Amino acid sequence: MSRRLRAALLAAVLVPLAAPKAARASDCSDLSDCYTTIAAGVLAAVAIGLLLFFFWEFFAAAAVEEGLVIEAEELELTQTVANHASDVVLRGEFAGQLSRPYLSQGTTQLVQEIIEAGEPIADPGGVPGALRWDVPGAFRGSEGTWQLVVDPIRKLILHLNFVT
Amino acid sequence: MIQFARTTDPLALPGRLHYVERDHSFRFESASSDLESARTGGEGEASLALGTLQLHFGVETGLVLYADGYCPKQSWRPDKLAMPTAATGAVQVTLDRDVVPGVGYRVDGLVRVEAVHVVSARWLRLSGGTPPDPAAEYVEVAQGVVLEIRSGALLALWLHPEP
Repeated sequence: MSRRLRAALLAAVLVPLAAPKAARASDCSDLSDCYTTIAAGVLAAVAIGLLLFFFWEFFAAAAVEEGLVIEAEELELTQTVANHASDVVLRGEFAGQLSRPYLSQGTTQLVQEIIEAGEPIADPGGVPGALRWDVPGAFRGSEGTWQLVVDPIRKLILHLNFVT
Repeated sequence: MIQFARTTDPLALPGRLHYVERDHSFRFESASSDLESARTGGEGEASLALGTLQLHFGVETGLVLYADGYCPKQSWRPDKLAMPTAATGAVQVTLDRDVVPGVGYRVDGLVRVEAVHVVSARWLRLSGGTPPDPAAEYVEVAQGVVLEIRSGALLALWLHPEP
């Protein structure tokens, strides 16, 4: 469950419980009534505070989640990855085609599909903030796995490969 | 099943292996496009996937070219290992299926690799967690790229990047 959803649910449960009846000055007919009114006022203030806090949490969480959305079109290949983008097959079944067409043709769409196909994990390689996807797929008739590692801060594709 | 065999070719592919900090990757710059083209052949290249590092080879020839790819320093474990003496040469890989250009093939025992860094000597050894085998063959197929092979199996890859 996302942080945003948890905050919204918590606010929905707590605020109605904490919110007292409205306190009015006309309720203060004797001293005990005054104390009741003051207590009700304090409770109302707490309820409003809680409401504001959870609204703040809700929108802050939403902003954080939106900040983590990775758009494939904003990503660039590292030079190491891009170095294999122009290798051409001269003979055989794939003559005239690129060895790794996925590095230069339809790359953005492929990367977006990988990102949308599964939840990433923290990069096992240990680069801070980097995310890794391993998604089942196919390439040139072979079944296998698309591997993708992205640095979302620098907006770099650190690794993109099809393995079987 | 992937088999590795040394050929009679005594040459290593000349070039420069280096680690690119920005990319967290190894990169190899060949110094002989003729030898690289001859070893690649005309049907493009595929690779052997050692974790996220790639050992490229020619589809037509099966000859190993060089290593490159993502291998962040953060995953390297410092240790002390003695690098056995390697001989320059060529290694041919044989797969039990048709090889397709652009595909990375997982190597048994090396799907997840452990990277041991011999800091003082600037060697990095990628293996499945096994120690160096004194009975193995050590073949430097490209400058700074050494394959540790025994009985047709790749046990480890040694990388010696230039500073």
